[in-house]
Amino acid sequence: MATDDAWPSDWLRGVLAVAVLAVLERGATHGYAIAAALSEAGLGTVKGGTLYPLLGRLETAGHLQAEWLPGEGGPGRKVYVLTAAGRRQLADQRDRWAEFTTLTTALISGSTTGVRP
Amino acid sequence: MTNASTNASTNTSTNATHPLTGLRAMAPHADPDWVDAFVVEQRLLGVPGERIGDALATIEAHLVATGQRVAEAFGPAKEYARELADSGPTRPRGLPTRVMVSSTAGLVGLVLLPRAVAALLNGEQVVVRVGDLVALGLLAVLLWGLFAFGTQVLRALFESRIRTVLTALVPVVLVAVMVGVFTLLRAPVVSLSAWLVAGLGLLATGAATWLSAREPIDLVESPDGRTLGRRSSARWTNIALFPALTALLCLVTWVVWATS
Repeated sequence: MATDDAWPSDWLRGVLAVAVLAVLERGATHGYAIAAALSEAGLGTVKGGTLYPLLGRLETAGHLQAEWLPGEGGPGRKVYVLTAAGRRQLADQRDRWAEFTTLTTALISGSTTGVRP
Repeated sequence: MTNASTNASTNTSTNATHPLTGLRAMAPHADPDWVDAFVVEQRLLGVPGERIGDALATIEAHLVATGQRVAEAFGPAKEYARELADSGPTRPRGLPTRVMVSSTAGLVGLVLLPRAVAALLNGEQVVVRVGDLVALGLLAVLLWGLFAFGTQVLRALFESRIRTVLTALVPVVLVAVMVGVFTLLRAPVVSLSAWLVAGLGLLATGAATWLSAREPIDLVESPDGRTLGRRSSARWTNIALFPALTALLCLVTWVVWATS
């Protein structure tokens, strides 16, 4: 689903890290391609000012590694690779996110009181 | 950051083949004023030069890929610099202790050695006057202020609209105050052996030089090894600053003695 409507930034802040890990699970890629993949998935435009600090935090946490591939007449492109710890984090977050969205959807749609069984 | 670390470790040796660069050449598609503000803020936040160079290269690659303007893609420079600084390791803010000690020792040598040279040339002792002690106190307060509030002082200076005037004015005011103190407060307090003062001065200058030689050189460095300035020049400037200034003042003292 692609949409031009911007999602509330609070929602994006909560899901962006796991979404980036999910994009990187498909394979190593560079920052702009990650932003393009998020946009293509319907999350809207994620600006560099949001994306790269997040990538930095994920790198500091050990969930991904970054390396520079050489370019012509310059430093080239920085490519991000998911680490084993990142894969574990993604698997954990994926399950919890599914549970979270099920609960919140049920709550918002009025089919539950929001109290976990 | 496997390969990036490898690149960094080989950067020193590749300085000869990778020419020096300027900030604008590190991110030519970004607005130069934005880049300047970004780098100053990252430096004030204690971000190492290698990380700043990495960030500039990332910004450049993103701008080339998207065709966006830097402020459109990354927002205001200072805010982005702060956000990015929080996402990775930084040095402790403020001046490192070794810099404080080496600067203080260097200044002590700078004050003592020319006085000792003048006394030795005249065959006299070094007369310590009230003005010397007051100047020493003022200098100690100034150094403490700089060491305790170095980052805030630098930030205020960079953010001031009259920073050029301030940068020129502060040393002039400082020298004028010191000259006033030395000239007006001439009552003698104690006399010391010129050789003792010379020995202390040499010890202080030697300590400053030794500590400066061990100071790590943190240049803004692109992932492909280009650096903002030459590492060897930065190291030699660090090492030679206080000995050269002290030698110059001693030489001036000798010239004044020889021509009077």
